[in-house]
Formats: sequence, structure tokens, C-alpha cells
Amino acid sequence: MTLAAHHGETARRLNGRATAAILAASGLAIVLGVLVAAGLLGQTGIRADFAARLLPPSLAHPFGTDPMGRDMLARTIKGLAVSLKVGLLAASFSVVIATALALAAATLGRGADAVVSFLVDATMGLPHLVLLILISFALGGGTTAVIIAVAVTHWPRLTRILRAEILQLRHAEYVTVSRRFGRSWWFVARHHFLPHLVPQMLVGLVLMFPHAILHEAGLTFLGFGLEPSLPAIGILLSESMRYLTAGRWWLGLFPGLSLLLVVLCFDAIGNGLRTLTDPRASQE
Amino acid sequence: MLEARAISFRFGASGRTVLDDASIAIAPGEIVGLSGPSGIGKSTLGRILAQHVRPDSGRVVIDGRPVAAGGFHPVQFLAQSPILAVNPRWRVGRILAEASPPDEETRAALGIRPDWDQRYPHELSGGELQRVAIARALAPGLRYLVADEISAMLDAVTQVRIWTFLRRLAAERSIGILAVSHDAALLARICDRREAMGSGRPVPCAAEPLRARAAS
Repeated sequence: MTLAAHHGETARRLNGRATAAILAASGLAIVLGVLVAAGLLGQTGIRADFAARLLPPSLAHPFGTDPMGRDMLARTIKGLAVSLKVGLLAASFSVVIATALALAAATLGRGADAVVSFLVDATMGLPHLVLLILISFALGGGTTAVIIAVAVTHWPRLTRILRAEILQLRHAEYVTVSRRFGRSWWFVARHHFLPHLVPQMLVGLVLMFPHAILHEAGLTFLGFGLEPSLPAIGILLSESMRYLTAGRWWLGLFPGLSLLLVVLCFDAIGNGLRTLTDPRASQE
Repeated sequence: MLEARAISFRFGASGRTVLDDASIAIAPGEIVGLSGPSGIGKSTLGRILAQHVRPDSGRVVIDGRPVAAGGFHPVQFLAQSPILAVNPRWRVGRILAEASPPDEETRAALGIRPDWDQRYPHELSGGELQRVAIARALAPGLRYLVADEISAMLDAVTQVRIWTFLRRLAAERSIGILAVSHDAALLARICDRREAMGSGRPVPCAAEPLRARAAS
């Protein structure tokens, strides 16, 4: 192959970073699109129309209608938006708690490490559905209560992972060098540890997100979560259970598939960000 | 004068004793060579001098006083493989400035090109990165350097370039250097004085350095 031909081929093909950026951006676009569409929908999908009960998918109702004659497409989009908000906020708070505790454990000395390890063990030792119900109930239910309840029960696993990661990093040669340059542990934590933890944090966030949505659905199902009037995906799925055996497959299929799509979007965003934050991928 | 006094060190509680009552002294502006077979504790002694490793017993003092904790350490350690001594997620420009940004003269003397600043460590060769690691350690507070096999994996031209620079540094800023190396010929050329590691402590080398002989 001549040099010019080879050059032409590399120019046509996108490099790894560009592909990762495009995938992450499309994932983000879909997620943002769902949120914007839900905002624009207003009252559609909330109002009942008993003349159009349980219609299968058609051009007028691409996702069919539910037992009260509400359009399932509108309800699915609204449901995704609610679940996204709850899942994203809860998972993000969890990641922030986990990162702060892991950094404290690794840099503030043995005492802090013992306290954090105890907190992790204590929280993991409790059955967390009970803890979730208690916290959500104590806070009076509703969206905020669910977010707080999920956030404060889901940090221990990620804290363990991040703490182990930092303990390994503490003995890295460049950390010792930084300390002998007179840099404080606070500087080391922010500039050496934190950038290194970003991939773990993203993976933690992505893995925690579906978990948060499921807990939201579970809490709501048990009556300690969101108001039943909110069309969250969890509520749609549990409502559909009764009708699946009667052949109303669209009630469960479309909300389920759309949830899968959103989770895949998060996966794309997570993977893309990991590639973009990895210096070794800079030439791919 | 940088001194290690009666240093003992062993790996783990029941591990092999690497250093046993080891002492060494390096005067300002002096280049001391330290040689010896692999695994005998040359690097460990170097790391103890720069307080990268804490000894089991014994003290490291400068001008008779222990080094104050915190702040830029006057003894800096240069490792054989600089890739482990730099954060892989930092660009070279940031790595260079971690202690204090090196001046233009230092950059020019070590051949550090401006376009390296935007690169990541793995985008430089071993020799290029070693020069970056040296430049980074030359902050104003530096008084002693421990150079642990820093030129062992480099080509002859780079080796000469680095040691010419360090010799000038020792003379101009009267920085004491401990040069750890297997390479007897290299040590003979660059050192004012040589010691060899044997059975847990350094002992003065019988052979007089070539440099001293040439001067007399």
C-alpha cells in the first residue's frame, strides 16, 4: 500500500476517541431527549379516556393504551423521566458519599480508616430493604425521600472498591515523590487520587443506576415511595403484570424495552467517558 | 553534609536483613559512587536517604540535624524507571511544575522541548522521561540527589548528556550526588569518591577513581 493510500484510509476511519465521544454524546442526547420530551408532554397520558381502553399498538398509539385508555407512549416517556431523575440523583449522591468517605479513609490516618470501615460494615450488615423503607417512611415518602433513602443505603460497596484502589495508589512511587515535594495529602487526594478514581466512579454510577430505579419501583410498590399518580417505570411494570396473562403484551414490553435502552445509553456514556479519561487511549 | 548513621533495615518482620549498621556521608558538591551486586541494598539505602523508606533503626541527618517533616525535601530520589515516578494521567508540563517550574536554562541543558509539555508520560521515550524526572527534582530547595541507576537503560549519548549536566549542577549549585550504579566504568569517570556495598554496609572502594588519578 502506498503512503498516500494509507493516509487516506486513516483519515476516513474515525479514531477510538472520536468513536467513544460520539457514542457517549448520542447516549446523552437520548437521555436528555427523554427528559425534554417528558417536560413538553404536559397532561397527555395522565387523562383517562375509557373509549380507548387497552388498544394494541397502532399509528395513533404506537405503544398501545392502558386499562384507563391512557397513551402508553406518553406514559412511558414520563415514566422514564421520573425514573431517570430519581435514579440519577440517588446514584450520584451515593457516588459522592462513597468518594468522600474513601478519600477520608485513605488520607486522614488510621482512626478515620477504622471509622469508615466500621460504617461500611455496619451499613452492609443491615438488610437494606428494611433500611430503605424506614428512611423513606421517616422522611414522609415522595420523590425526595426515595432519592435520599436510596443514596444513603447504596454507598458502601463503592466505598470499599474506591478505598482499596486508593490504598494501592498510596504506595505508588509518584505519590511518594509528590509528598517529598512537600505536597499535602489533601493535594495528593485531589490531584493524584481523584482523577485515577473517575473510571471506577463512572462504573459505580452506571451499575448503581438500574439498582436505584428498581429500589424506587420496589419502595413505590410497597407504598413507601413515589405517589401512585406518578407514571414511574417501576409503577408501569408492576401495573402491567395483571394484564400480561390476558395477552396485553404491549403494557410491559415497551416500558421494559425503553428502560433497557436508557440503561444501554448509560453504559455508552460510562464507556465513552472511561475511554476519554484514559491517557493511554489518546492515540487510538 | 548528608549523613546516614548506623542504618538497619529488613523487609518485613522476619525478612532478610538488607542493611546492617550502614553509614554513608555525602558532602555538598561531592559525587559519591555506590556500587555492588544486585539485591544488596544499594537502592534501599538511597531510598532511606531521601526518606522514601523508613529505616528500622539509625538516623538520616543533614548538617547534624534531622530533616523537618513537610515542605520540599532537600534530598530527592531519582529512580531507574521514571515511568513509575510520574502520574500517568498528568501531562509532562504539569509533571515538571509539581515542585516548581524549571527555568529555561535547565530545560535547555536537559534538552526538554516545549512541545513535550502537552504530552503524556507514555508518549516520551525512557531517556526523555528520565530528563523530565531530573528537571522536576531540581527545585530551589534541592541540596542532595540520589541517582539510582538513572542512566542504566539509556544510550551512550543520553548518558553522557545527563551526567555532564549533573556534574555541572554539583559544581555550580554545590549539590551532593549519590550515584548508585553497577557500571564501574561510569562511576570511575563521574565520581569524586566511591564506595561499594558489601554485607549490609557500604565500605570505601580500594580502587581510586580515574578522575582523582587524572587530577593528581
